[in-house]
Amino acid sequence: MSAKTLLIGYQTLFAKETHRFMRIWKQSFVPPLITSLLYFVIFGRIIGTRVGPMRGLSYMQFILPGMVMMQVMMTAYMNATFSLFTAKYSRSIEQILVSPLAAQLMLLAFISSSMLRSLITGVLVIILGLFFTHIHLEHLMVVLITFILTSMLFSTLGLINAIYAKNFDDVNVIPTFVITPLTYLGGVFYSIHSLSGIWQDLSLLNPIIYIVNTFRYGILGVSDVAVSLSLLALFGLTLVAYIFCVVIVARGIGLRQ
Amino acid sequence: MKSGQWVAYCTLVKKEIQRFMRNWRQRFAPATISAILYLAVFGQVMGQKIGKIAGVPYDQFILPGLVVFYSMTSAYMNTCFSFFSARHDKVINCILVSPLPNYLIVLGYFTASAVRSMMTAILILIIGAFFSPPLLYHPLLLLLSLLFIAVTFSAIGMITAMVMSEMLQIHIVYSFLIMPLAYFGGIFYSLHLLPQTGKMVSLLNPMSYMVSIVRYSIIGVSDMPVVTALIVIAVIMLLLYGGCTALFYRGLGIRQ
Repeated sequence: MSAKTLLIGYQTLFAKETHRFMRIWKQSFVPPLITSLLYFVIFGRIIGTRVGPMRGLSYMQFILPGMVMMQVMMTAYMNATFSLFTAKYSRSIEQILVSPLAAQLMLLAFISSSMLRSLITGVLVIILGLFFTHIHLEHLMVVLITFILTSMLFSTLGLINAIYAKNFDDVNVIPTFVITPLTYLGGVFYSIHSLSGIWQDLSLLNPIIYIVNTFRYGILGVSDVAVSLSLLALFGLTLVAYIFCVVIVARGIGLRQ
Repeated sequence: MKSGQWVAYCTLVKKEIQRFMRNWRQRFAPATISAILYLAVFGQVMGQKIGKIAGVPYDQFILPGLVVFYSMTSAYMNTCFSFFSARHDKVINCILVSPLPNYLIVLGYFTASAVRSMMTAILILIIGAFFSPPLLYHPLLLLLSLLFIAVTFSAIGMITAMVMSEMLQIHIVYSFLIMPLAYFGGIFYSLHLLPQTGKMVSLLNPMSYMVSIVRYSIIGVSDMPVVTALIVIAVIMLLLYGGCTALFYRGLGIRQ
């Protein structure tokens, strides 16, 4: 099959997936904006005045990068899981599987569409944040790389979740029990230097600490952890997640059983 | 109420309670985890920087707000989800043709949701006790106001379920109405921290009164006069409860 035909298959699935969330754009993009707005006003402004500066930044500035990453991770994960699981549940996935579209291209279409949604959400949250504070964009490349790798990582993890999920409750387990707690404890709202000894060490076991701090470094130039190492780890994790996803799909787990 | 009706009412309540108890982990875990996170991150870590608000440590200050928030959310979600499913699967027709009068059907749904809402509230109070010494100044007032809140949001849930046409719309009222009003109702701050206009606007927000009265019954401090707040939330509850029952009698979304 020529590269052009392969591309058509990818483009079609990508367009279908993107259309899925763009059709209901109000429901896709407004709720995360409202949540962010509430956090900005209540924690950034009202409570922020009592918190005082954090690592030399105003509290509003400090929480902005974390809030963006929080929405990017959640959106990428939820979109990928929900979309693939619905396709599995309604059996429309079978029509994609019998088509001549290669498994990897199918995955890439799902992943890139979720990435697009989460990146749009992230940009919207940044724009919203600019109404409350200003940012410097210290290291543009770091910002872009973290943005893209994080959304890709969480889209892929979302697909893996959907592949293993047996019912709708399984779709919510990881976001509720793993992602939300790790995000809140992942340095979105505080610098780990505010924690006492043992909690600081424990925090370093939380992968989201590295994502949030790398992104904060890119935007504001401040980080609690080593940035280059975090980027490397993020890249490695994304690669591992992707390969894992390709392998389980090739084996037909969850989709061809 | 005739004894037959009593049996029917109890059956409906029992069925509805079984619905959410069947997978109780999914029903209670998310609220519990979020409450723990808020208490840990904002109450403990940030609380050291924020200091005391209204004379109490920050984790103690936000606990009542969290109780209100999650009890209203679970009352809303439970009624809306359950009633919409019943409409969607047409199970509601079986209930409608039964000899159970309309007002008892509404009451049955509300009772079950109130049970879930109160259970959530108690869970969060227990969690709060691990973070700071538990206070409970006026337990009866707390029960009464939690009941009012549960009925109010069950009514909002049922009205939403009557007018919505697909499951995802359950989140619209939540994201656009409940969450913003609740967050601006003073869960995380005292109205005294706001500028004058902010304070005035907050008085138009019914949830300020709910948070205030629950906070008073738990930690003994309130932003506004307790009697006024109690009257306000009682009136709101009666209006919504009456409105919902009236819409049910007119058959909105169920007999059309």
